[in-house]
Amino acid sequence: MTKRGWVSAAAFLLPATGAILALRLWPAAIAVVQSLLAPHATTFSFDNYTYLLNDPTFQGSIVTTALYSLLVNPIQIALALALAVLLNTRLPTSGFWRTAILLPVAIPQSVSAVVWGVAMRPDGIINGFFAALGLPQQPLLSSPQQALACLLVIVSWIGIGFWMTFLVAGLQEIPKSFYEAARVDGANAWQQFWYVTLPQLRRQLAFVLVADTVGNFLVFAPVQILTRGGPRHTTNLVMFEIYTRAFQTNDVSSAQAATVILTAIVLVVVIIQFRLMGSGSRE
Amino acid sequence: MTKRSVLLGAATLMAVLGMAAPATAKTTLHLLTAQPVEEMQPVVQAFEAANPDVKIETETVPYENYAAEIASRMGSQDPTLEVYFVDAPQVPAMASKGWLVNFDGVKTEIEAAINERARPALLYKGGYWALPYTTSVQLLFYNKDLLAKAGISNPSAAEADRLTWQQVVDTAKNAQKAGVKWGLQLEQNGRYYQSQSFFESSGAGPGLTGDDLLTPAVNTDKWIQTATWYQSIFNTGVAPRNIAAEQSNDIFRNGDAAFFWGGTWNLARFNQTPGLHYGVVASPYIAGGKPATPTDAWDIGVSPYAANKDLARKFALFMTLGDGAKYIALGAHIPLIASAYDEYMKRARDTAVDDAGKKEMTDARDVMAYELKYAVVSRPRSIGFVILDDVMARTFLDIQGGADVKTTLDAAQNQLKSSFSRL
Repeated sequence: MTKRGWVSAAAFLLPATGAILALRLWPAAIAVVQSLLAPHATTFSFDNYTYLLNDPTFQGSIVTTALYSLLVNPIQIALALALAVLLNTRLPTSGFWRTAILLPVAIPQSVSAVVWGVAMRPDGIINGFFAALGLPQQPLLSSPQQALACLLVIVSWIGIGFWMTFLVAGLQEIPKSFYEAARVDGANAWQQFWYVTLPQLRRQLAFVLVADTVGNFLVFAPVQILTRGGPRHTTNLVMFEIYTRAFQTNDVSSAQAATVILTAIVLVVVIIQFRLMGSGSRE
Repeated sequence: MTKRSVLLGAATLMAVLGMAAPATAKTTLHLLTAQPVEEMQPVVQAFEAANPDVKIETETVPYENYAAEIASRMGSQDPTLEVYFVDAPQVPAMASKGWLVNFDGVKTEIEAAINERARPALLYKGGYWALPYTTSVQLLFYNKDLLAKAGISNPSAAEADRLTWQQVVDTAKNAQKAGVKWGLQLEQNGRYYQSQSFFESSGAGPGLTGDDLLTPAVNTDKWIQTATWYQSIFNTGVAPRNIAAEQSNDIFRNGDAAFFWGGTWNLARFNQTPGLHYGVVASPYIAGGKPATPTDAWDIGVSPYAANKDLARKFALFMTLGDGAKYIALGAHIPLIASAYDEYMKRARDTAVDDAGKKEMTDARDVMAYELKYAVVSRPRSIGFVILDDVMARTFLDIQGGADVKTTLDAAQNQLKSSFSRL
């Protein structure tokens, strides 16, 4: 490339690089530096990390987040994939269903949370539905056993439609001839899905898996609006724990340390996922 | 277009803008509150009328998010956080963090305008860090029709007849036997503001001890005993669980609760509810203990990072100690400024639709005056209050929900200790 070419390339890259530096890397650097300063301390130390890792509330939030992630990601992706496959068939009304499933994405998470909150009240529509079916009334969001599952339903109601659209796009890229060849070889529907659809969808699935995992680590609005981490800390996901520390109890340095820990966990999980998905495509 | 015509156009544009400037160059001052925007309009309009070059923008944030809103904006030294409502028990924490400007310069005026008992809500280490605005008292409301239907006579508002909580719960259960849906509704369900009263009344204390109130004591035997009684109200179905404070007075207004323990801000609203016949008595106390009625509300503070600090001070003084103080009487809370207090009570009385209602307003006024003088207990004024408020709100909701009392209070005690170690 000529010198002029380099200059113009740099000029084109400048806004994006500048934005990444100012909006991502600079705040991240501040977080790391502040996380190393204990309250009232003047020298750097790992005190904030020692304190956090020994704090039962923070430990609990990590465990809750891990449990939540282990459940929500496979459920969301499996359902998104199932719906994508179903709606990719030539049903006469598949366009309508695709829109209906995608619609919740257009509603802000906070608004969905409020609406679901009303529906899940003891006297809400969901319990009314249970009553109509002759089922006993359920405490839902106010029960330590059910609250996390309720959050999972709310978040998935929004998430599944969103992730489904990526998978539908991927499905439509798979050449029809692959399926014809599989049918000629005598593959049944399940075998076609397993040996044609899934491998061909690997790239889209990798993206959905990584993006969904990251998104679910950062769930905040439904917790803040509906449960505030309760009952009995059973929905105290780590983002809400960080918010509580930073803005409710004003312990900013431990909030920064918790942010660094969360980022590290997310990075490790994402790297593992990339490895797993990536190694497959080289086979 | 020639170069000349461009220049000419630009010059014309600048001239037009220049001419328009004096008419529109208003200073914008920001007011942050947890009250509805409409409630602030009268005082805002009065100040704008007296200061035509000032425009006040009012922003309202729900109470649950209010402390977090201030913390995040102070963290970035936001110049648009200027005049703001300060939750009275948070004055020490906020002053110690440097989030409030000092008002010792108007000490004489403050002390002349309010009752001596109201001063501590403005003080931190002997200095005035906020201006007096409102206070509060909780009253016990009862539905006359529901009690009559259950054959229960109305309670008396005389101080000698102040009810114990045990009496209230027993009466509430009898009303429920006669078909009333709920016996008792706690307006600020789970919030420390209201729940503290049970523990103060039983002698368990506020949950903080020590000279600087930074030693948690929320799992003492007395606390466990009182919390166990508190849980029984919900376990026995007398009071509904987990109803947000904003939604709770609807239950009483709809005639679905025999008793309602709530703030004086409900008086006018209940008076305007057709078919609701209610009476008020003083807040009950735990049998064997003493009255401990919740109190305090909002002070007015000014941020040291305000873009227009002098103007912010001017407006804060106008709405508290100045000509704007009279508008406090139009709001939901009881004015701390003595001159606006009578007007507040007169307005509540004016909303009563019949003679019985007007008599109740007289009772309410007498009860409020007595409570403010003899029975109220403030929330602990400690730099750790914000943490206590947050941790205990969740703890009370868990106890309501049926969690084991001792385990829950032990966990709260540990969480408070852990968080206080960071102050």
